[in-house]
Amino acid sequence: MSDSSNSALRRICHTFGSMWFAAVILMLLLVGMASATAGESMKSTEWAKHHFYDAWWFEGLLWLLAVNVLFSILARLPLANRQIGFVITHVGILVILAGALVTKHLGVDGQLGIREGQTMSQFLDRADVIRFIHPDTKKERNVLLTPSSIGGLAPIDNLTMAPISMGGVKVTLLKYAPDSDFVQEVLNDNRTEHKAVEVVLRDAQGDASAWVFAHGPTTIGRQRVAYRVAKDPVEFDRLLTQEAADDVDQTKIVRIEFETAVYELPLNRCLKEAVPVGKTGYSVHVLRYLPHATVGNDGKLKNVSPQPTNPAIELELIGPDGTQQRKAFAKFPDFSSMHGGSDAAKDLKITFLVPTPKVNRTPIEIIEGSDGELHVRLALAGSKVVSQKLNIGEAVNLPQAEATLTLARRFDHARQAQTVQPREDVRDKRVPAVLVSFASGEVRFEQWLQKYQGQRVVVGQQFVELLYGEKEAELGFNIRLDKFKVGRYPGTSRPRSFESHITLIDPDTGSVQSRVVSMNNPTQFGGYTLYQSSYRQDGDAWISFLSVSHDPGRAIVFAGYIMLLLGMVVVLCIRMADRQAVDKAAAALDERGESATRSGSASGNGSRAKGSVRNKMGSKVGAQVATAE
Amino acid sequence: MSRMLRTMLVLGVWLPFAGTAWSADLPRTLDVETLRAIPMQHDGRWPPLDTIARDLVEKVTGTQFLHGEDPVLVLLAWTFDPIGWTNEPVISIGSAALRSELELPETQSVYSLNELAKHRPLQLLIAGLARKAPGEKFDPLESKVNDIDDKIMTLRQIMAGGVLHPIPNVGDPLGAWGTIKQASTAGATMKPAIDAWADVRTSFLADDAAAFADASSRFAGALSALPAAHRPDLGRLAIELRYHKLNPYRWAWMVMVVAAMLATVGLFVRRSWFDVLIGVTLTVGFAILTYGLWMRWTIAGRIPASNMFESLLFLSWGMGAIAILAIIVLRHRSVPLTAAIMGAVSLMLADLLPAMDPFIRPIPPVLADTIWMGIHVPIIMVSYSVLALAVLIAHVQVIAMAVLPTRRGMIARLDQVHYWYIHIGVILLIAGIITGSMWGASSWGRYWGWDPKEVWSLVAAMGYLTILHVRVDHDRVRWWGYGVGLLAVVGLAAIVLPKFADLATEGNGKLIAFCGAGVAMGLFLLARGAFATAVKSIVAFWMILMTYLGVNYILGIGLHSYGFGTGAVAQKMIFYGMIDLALIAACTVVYLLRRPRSTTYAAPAVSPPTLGAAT
Repeated sequence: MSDSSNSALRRICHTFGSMWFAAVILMLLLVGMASATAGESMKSTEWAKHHFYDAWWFEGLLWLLAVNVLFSILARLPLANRQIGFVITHVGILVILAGALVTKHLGVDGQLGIREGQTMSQFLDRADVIRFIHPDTKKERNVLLTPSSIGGLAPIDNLTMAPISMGGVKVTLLKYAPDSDFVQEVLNDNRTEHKAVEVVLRDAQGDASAWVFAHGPTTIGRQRVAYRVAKDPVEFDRLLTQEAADDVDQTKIVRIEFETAVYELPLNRCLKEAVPVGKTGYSVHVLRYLPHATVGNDGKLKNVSPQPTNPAIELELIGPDGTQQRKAFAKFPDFSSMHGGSDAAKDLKITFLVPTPKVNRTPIEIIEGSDGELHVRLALAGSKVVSQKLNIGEAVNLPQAEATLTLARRFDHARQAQTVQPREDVRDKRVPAVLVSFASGEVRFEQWLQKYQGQRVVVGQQFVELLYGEKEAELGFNIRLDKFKVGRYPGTSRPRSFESHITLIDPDTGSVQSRVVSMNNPTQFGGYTLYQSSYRQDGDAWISFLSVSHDPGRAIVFAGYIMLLLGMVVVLCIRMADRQAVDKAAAALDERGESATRSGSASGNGSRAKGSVRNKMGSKVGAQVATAE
Repeated sequence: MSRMLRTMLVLGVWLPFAGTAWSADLPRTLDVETLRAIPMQHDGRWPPLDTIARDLVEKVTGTQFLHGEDPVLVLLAWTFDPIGWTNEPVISIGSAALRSELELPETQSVYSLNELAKHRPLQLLIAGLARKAPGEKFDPLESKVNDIDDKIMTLRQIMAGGVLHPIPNVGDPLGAWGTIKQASTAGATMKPAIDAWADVRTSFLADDAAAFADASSRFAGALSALPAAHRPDLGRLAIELRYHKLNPYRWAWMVMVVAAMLATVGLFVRRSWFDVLIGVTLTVGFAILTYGLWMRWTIAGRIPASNMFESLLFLSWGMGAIAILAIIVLRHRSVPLTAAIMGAVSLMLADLLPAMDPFIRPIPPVLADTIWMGIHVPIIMVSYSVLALAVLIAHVQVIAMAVLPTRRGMIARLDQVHYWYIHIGVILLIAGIITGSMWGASSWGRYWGWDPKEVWSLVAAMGYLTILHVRVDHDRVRWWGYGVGLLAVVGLAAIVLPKFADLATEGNGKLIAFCGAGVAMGLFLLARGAFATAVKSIVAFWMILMTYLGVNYILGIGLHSYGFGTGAVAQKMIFYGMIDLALIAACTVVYLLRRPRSTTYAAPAVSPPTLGAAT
């Protein structure tokens, strides 16, 4: 190497290895990290990791730091003895950075959730995969997603992945969304008739809209809205005009018709005793009341629930021609005539009347007539009722609520569908999703798939099963959780320790070992270190979460730590030795100075002079030290 | 000294109660020493009744010495005469603003249980707390209401006899001990203890000294006769009694205050015998503190390094330890002065701040069963101590360079002391970060996880490293070197700023923050004289404060937020930060205005760079 190229190299080393560059890089890292913690406080840990610690420029700064440190050493070649501390320190920094690089690329940091009594041989490796399960063979196939992009906070609109064929279905991943939600959607594609209307309520606070189904009222904003379909014009009129029902007599009635006369007896009385039916000579005694009667295998009635689904009674009719048993069903008033009974007292018809439950009127009701027209019925203050015709898109004033009501859509075959949709504002506990396209022959559609949600997707005649989850990696040994214990401070509920009592089984050697993993006490086995991470109670059993780590970089980093500390101490010692040398020199100067002034009495002046001399010397040696390093 | 202490104590406790009626009387003739020493289960340990009484009385009234009374007497009075005490004002609500918010009478600041329990606005707010979703944070008013609710609940529990657990567990050495009430259903073996306790009660209420002494010793005897799977060590109980009676930290800071006054005088006396006196006084304070730490360590059975109170003790201890070494090595009068001042201040903060909890509490599992707490915490606290000493010297230096620019010798010596402190401090700080990293590796499985506490400790270390590097950097950087540096700074701003664009900040907070960061970066990179180094050291120490307090109190995030404190600390930090900033700004202006006439304080002039060439 020629002298000139040598000096050019030296110049480059000097500039890139200069303290100025070191200071710039340190400052940039410092400001970057401080901003990251501020961002973490305001947003989330993951946000800070994504935008700062794991960002390309942050790693770039660390690389620059490494280059700077390396060049600062190169610039000082050949090294003097007194620079030993400097070299150890700065090589230590390089070793730490190298170790971190090894950890980043070769380290395994997974998790293992294990239930008491369970044995596992795999752990989750924190890399996203799509797992396909073959419909026939049940064989699994894992497709690893690009670890750097998928799983992060940034949405991806064009995933470039080769399509995967499985069981005649071609599956392609199209997009990635960092967060997703289940969205309720109402579609008009139900095979059976199912009526629903979408209603928009507008008041001072803004718009609120919801679907109202014909089977029950819905709350929109602060209003209850119901949707009723009338079977016939009579019911339509009744629904439209009926006021909030007053107290209808709710007693159940046993009605007896005999020779044009009608007798009505309250059920409760007939249950207690045989009640004479007027002057007919008959008495009725109800033996059983069955709110939900069904006919059992033996042909007898039995009750299956307390709900008045099929109210029925069994009764004894006691008359001049003896006692006979009868049944009566509220919903089938003609039962006894249909099925007869005995000939005796056949002119006596017994029906069971159960009052229809009070129609619980809703303040706002949308009522569909048998002609298909919609009307809205509003219950106003003072049990006043108004109604008017309702057309799609027309606003109706709601006088009682200072709001307007608009009918937006009307479906006759409504179906509530749950679909996954990406979210724009990413939450703290987010659920990532991928948009998957399925194709088989002519059939082709797209669907979002949420993480950890397994799905069986029907594509034409074919189907596929797939799961978006985390990669399972083999431990190489089996681990069984025998017991999980939470140690508590005596007499309190405060936890003192979390302990997983595990058994480790090596299938190759057959060795079986019992270990305890607790906070601060990891255990090592088969190349992995297991740490107590967290726990959960699931029913009676505990589930313990262990961190599974394999980190070849750690030893390197720790070696770097030791070098860094050692080097800094050596630097300090050398500086202190320098300082003592300066003091000695100053003392020597002092003596000379004192003999020169010859007046030992002016101690104040003397010490001040001594100080300034020492300062001058100190700075000179200090400068030399600095120059040397 | 002891009288002064007592007067101070009595004054200190009496003040908030001034003007309140005090009708229920405590028995005057009784000797509670036997009862005081009886161990009971409390807060996961088996302290003597003395400790429990101090803890509970402080929890309810805010002070261990209600009206200057013995906490054991007060606790017994609450236990034995609940009806009489429900109408006594014991719960203090000091803040007038809070009182008016709660619609409590303005003229009164201490309230009885009955008054608060019947006060509808307060009870409505307390009922509102229960409706909070789990995990939802309290706003400032709610957390204050929650505090009051805690006090009410504690007092009620004391009055219901539910806080004293003297009955040992037979089966389980770590099992729960019982209360007297629970023992009364447990059969004949408990009878002597229960009867004795009933007699203690009767004689206490009757203020009958002889009967009380007899009943107390019978109670103690009956308890020790009961079968127990575990009993606390008697020696440890004795130490705990002594520890609380002595209050070593208060003695230590008082001695340190004396040392600080002597050291101030010493600046003018300038006699070596006086320097020895200062050193001895400081050492005595340090020794008392060390003794206190040793006692706390013995009582807790672990190193006292688990919370803010204990870390302040270590901070003070580190200052003492470093000062004693530095006095010998550096032989400068600023060393004992600054050490005594800072040591006393941090101990006073621990002893006198109402937010500090001086009691020994259960520690979370991550802190338990590990030697790393005993290695990491002391190292990091000693490093904070040294850097705190450095920041005090830096303040003195900044003021001196502005006000007394002609005292070159003094300034140069301050600069030297400051430099040594920073150098040692940053080594200890990095040692602390490294041991913390190793602890993290053994408990969480990773040596670095970008946890905010980790990050801020590294930020502070980098700040100090930048100071040290720029200070000795006499290499002339080529123009393009500056250009690349500037470009990098602009590049970082271009990357970082947009990330915060959508964050709403009040007023111009964001602008001020970024301007501040820019000015600080410029200062750290470009200014390199002695004055600038001192100013930078002050800024860097605020990074240490951010690590020590800010991560928990301002950011409130991360694995190291062990759950203390609320927003008040953040406000105080900003307030003192502003004062400090104003002081430094004023000094800088004065210094810069006067500089042209005296140019030689900047780091001593150096010969042109001859880098690479071995000297």
